Amino acid sequence: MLYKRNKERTLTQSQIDKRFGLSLVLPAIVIVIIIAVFPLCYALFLSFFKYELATSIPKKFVGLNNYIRVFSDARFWNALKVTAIIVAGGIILQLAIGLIVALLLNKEFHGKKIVTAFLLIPSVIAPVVVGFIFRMMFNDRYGPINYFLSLLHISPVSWLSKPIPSYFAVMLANAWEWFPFMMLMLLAGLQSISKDQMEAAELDGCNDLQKFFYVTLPNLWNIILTVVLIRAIEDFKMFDLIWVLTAGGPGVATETLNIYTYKQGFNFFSIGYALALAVVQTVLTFFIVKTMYTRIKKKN
Amino acid sequence: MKKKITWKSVLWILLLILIIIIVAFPLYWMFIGAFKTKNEFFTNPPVFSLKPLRTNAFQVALFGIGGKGLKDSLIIASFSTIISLFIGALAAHGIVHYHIGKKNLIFIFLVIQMMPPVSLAIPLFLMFNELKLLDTYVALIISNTVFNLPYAIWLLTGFYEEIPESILEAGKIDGASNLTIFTKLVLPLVKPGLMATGFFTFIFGWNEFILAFTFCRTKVKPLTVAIPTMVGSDTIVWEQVYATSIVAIVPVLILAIFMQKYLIRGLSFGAVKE
Repeated sequence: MLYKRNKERTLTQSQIDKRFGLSLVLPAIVIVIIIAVFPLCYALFLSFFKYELATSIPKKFVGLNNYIRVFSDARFWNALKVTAIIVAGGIILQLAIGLIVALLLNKEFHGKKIVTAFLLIPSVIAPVVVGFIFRMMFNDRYGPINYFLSLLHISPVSWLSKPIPSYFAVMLANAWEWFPFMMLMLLAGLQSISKDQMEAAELDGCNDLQKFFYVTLPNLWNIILTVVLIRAIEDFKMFDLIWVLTAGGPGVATETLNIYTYKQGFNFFSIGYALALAVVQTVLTFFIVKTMYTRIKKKN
Repeated sequence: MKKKITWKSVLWILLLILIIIIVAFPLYWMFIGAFKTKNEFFTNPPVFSLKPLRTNAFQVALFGIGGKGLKDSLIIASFSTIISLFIGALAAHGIVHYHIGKKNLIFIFLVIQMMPPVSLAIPLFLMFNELKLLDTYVALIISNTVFNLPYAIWLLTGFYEEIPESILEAGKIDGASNLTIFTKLVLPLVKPGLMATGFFTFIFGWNEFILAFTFCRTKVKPLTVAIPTMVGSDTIVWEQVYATSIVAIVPVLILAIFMQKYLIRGLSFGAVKE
């Protein structure tokens, strides 16, 4: 009798708990459905329509036409190429500088805290501001960067008006903002490498370079994968910096998928087509993230 | 005790100084830019010295377009933070301690957070247009929350997971109700997590550009949108751009000083916990 009552009570108690838990999560689910899931479904729906906002022609169902157009659009392929270059190149740049600085800071010295805190400033600044700082700095004729290069007897570079230099301008400005983040993540990883391993390597007669490749790097591998994943997602989303710095120019040289989609939507007002581009881009992000995510999980 | 000066330590110092200069110079360039006159931007060699403190540009940056921008940025970032934090604090508790949709829900939130903002900007633009919400605070608070809420939940679950289960169990055994456990036990324990999360959602809202740029016209203009309006078709009022940039950066930097401990955790989406 007593046993039975007890069982009933625990059952209802767990039901109460379940209900309480659900009511906690429900507001978030409802909000996300209204402001994220619904708009995304609406976007998917409209991507099957020809919908030109600039004209008064009503939207017309065109099936997969927008998607066919995406894959036969040279400007889309260009945007894909530009995005790949800027994301991959940018991450290599951020990682290389981040790793070097992390190695530099991986010892005790006076003012270490202040230096690391100072180096993090770029990462919290609005990318729009970073864009404007570098837009003037990269100026062909009056910018300080070309001035410094001239001191080194290097002839001026047309940073923002030639395709190849403009890639570098975008990647450098972005690296300036984000290498400190990479650096701090890697520094945390470096500090967690056990002293014993290092000493063992030293006893075995490893030089600094060997220690780096056989002890440091393998230990850092997981953190490197994590930061690369985070930065890949974020750089894939990058819009503000490029918009301010080059607006996708010169021509379409730095026009990433984001910029191109935005222009189709709000400069050319081809809503249906822009949404097809957005859907393709979202699916692409999803798969990149998924593969990288599972790969990291496997490594762990 | 004298330290031996080796070529290695000299190289180390030089490299460190070089890195500090590389980080500092663009900031310095912005800072002196705010005090320059128009012509001083267009000289070769560039003007590198700090000119007598001309505050003309700051008139605009603090009281003109920039002042309005400051107010709008503050409203948008604050309200989006409050909503994300409030709803997020509830949801994270449900997900972590009541195991509601742990895997699927978290993954969906993560995917939304990672979406390119353009793909949401277009449908939201059409919806706000229908609802006559373009150029209002509501539109910007809502659209920032799209990204801030999933982020807040994601980051907060990490903090909630750090609460030892035994504390909650003890509360249950003492006969505390679910609500009391949440308000009296859980919330005080995750206070640092809530503060850190709030700090980041605030910064994201403050620095956000593409949504504001898409939904703003004339009535609402946060700083990130106000700054590009100083760019005319053929001229840029650089000193105003830089003065307003300083105004946009200072509040974030002050907050960052207090939240320094959590910077890495927040920027890495909770991947690194120290």
